[in-house]
Amino acid sequence: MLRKSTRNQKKREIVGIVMVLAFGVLIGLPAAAGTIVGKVKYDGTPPPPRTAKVEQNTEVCGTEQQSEFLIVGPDQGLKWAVVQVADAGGATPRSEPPTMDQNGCRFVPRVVIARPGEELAVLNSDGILHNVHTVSEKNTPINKAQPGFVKSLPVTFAEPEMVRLKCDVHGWMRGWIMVTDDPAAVTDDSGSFTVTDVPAGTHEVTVWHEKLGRQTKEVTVADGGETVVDFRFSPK
Amino acid sequence: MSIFQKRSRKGSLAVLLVSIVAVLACSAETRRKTLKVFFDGVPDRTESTRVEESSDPIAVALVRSTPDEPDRLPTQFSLEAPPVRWASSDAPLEAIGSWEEALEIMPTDDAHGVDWVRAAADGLIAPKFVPPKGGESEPPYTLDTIALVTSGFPDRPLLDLDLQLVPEGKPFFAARFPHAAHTFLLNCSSCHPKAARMRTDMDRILAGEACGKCHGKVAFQPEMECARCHEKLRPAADTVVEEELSRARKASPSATPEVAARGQEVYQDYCSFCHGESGDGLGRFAPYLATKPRDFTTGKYKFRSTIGTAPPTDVDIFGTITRGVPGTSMPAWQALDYDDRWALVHYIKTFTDRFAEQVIAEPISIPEPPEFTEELLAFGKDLYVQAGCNACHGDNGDGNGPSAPTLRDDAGDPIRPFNFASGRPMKSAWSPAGTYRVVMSGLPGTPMPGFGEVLDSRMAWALAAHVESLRGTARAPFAVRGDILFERQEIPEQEVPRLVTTDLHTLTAEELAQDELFLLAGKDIPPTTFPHWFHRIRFKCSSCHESVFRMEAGANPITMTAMRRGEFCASCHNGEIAWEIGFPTCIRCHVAR
Repeated sequence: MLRKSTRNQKKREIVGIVMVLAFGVLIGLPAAAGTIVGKVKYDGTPPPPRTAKVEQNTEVCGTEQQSEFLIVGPDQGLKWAVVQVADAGGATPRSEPPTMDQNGCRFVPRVVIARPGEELAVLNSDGILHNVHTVSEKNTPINKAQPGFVKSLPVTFAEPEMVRLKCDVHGWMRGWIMVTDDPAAVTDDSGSFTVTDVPAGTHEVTVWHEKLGRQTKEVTVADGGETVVDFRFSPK
Repeated sequence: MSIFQKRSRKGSLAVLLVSIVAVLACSAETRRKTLKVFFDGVPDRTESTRVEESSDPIAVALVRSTPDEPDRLPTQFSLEAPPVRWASSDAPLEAIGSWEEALEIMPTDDAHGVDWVRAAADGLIAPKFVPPKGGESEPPYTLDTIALVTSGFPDRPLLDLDLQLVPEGKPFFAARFPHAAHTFLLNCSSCHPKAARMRTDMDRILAGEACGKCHGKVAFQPEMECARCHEKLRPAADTVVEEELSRARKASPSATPEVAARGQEVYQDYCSFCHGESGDGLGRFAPYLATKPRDFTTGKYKFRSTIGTAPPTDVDIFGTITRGVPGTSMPAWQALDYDDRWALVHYIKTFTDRFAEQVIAEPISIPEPPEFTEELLAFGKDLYVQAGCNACHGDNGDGNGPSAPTLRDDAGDPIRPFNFASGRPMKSAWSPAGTYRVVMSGLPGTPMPGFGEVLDSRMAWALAAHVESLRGTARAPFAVRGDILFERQEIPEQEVPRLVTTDLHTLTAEELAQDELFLLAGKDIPPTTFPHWFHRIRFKCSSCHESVFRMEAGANPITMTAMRRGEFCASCHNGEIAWEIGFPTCIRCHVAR
């Protein structure tokens, strides 16, 4: 028979193990989360795109490039707007790291979302020299060369911020990187977006567009539910 | 008896009158001194000038250089150079056919202007004595005669007299003025007495007074070439600089409160007039400088030996201060004490939080260079294209690649890629090892990216070797992208007062004399070609940009109507400064090329 002190010790050990297991189970349970869906619309006709004449690498870039800062779909859907749920951070990690490609002398996709400290892979499908040149205040600006033989170049951002991306070799190229921990999504061709893993509760939802600015709405999300939020931008 | 009684009042009145007369009759100097006893704030009218003069006196020491003096300093324009030939015949000025050809052989100064002193010392130009007709030579001067008005003596010797101008309290900034370099081109009355005022300072010179009457307009720009006058700002030999840098890399004074205090003193005395009192790059000379002084408050530094997003090391900053930045207004501060320069480094770092927040990365180690064999050069040449350097720097390295015209720096200002082919030293790289470093680290704040993460050391050395082989292969473009070809625009109908004929030969003398005939709205008039180089040899960029011409394609609606109103080209081409735009001179611009 075990001595009394050893028996107590064993009891404590078993209790400890059970507590740890229970804690682990509780941690492992999915948090209460919902989804926000909706559409972002633009109430006007976008101006005709500006054209830049291409002087170099025409076999890859073409002879002309058009500006894409305001893309409106057939149903007035605004493309390349970012919807972000404020202070709802700690979203579940993504399965794949985000990528930004340089394809046809354009940044594809134009807007990408990355986490602070997460590696963003910048790809070079064009096979010519591009440079990854960021413009930002809180993050130190990056200017790295990506010659044609470098297919992928990692960049990392430490602080949440909206970072502008440009290429000096091809002055018309424009891209945006939203560095944030919050749940966020980018609108597609029809202006629709889906933000997943939003914790249940009331949040401020902000939509950002590079030319049209920001708008904010307050939204309540139910656990496992889908909340619909629409935004509308008007021409000034 | 009271002093105010009648008798003594007359007496005191008389005394008063006499003293007023006496004071008025005195010289201005005495008057001022006397009145100062009674009044404050007496205006100083001892020298009547329209220009407000500097109150800092400059001590002038004569430095007479003769061959007998053992401590003779060479004058800038040495008498040992080939003597200037005073051509008094009508022989053509150059055997060379055109100014463009002449410019191929002219020596240039740091600001890409012609170095006339060196050109004369080398015997390339022979200033021609233009005898005054009726006492004065008349403007405007044409290409046929060099615009030198000398009412002096064609055979006079040069005045080889150097002056040492020492500002009071600032012996470091003593400047040397060589009479010889001026008297080979000008006579005494060109400068004396108006322009040659001793009571002047850099603010006034940069603003166009005293020396600035010519320097910055037709002679070298004072803000680009400090060391040409201020002898202490002349860069030291590379070996001396390298020794100091290797000493600095091993051990450097660390940042203590005493060091920071000393740094602040040195900064205020030597740096603040360009970089600003608070390190924001807005010193009082800053508006005159083409390349703006660094704004230390942003924490962005161009020259460093680290890669990626890392800030520069202390030795990087020390190196920049010591060497200066050739091609800009930042001179070499070699003459300051080693410890003072280190104090500056530590003080400058305090202007921004970046050094406190970021971890200082290790500088890249530049390995021993491989031998520059044919094979390495061929590899480098191929890599130059593969890595895309030619997109901005051009195939021959002259900075005229297809992407070059649209480049902008972080401030949004247009910026040009470096022209390797010119043979000038780069701003921070003096050798292939320096090129290696710049290629790997990039230049933060400019479009030049860092290749540090994508090239290995052999590739970087190959590129450095190739860049070295390009140096001196093409002349530095004398002006910005050469000539501007103005394509013919459609003239709106209301601008044409009278459509006469496109055949000039059928016009009578009376018709030719009329002003309206300029506007011949036919397609037969050739487009206009504007030669930048021809203007650049005389004027600096700010003479026209941006007040007369905005530097943006399509922003200047230049039409003949506007020119007849005195705008654009006619600001100078009005018969007073340069030839008038008129019927006989159409062909000077409307030239089919």
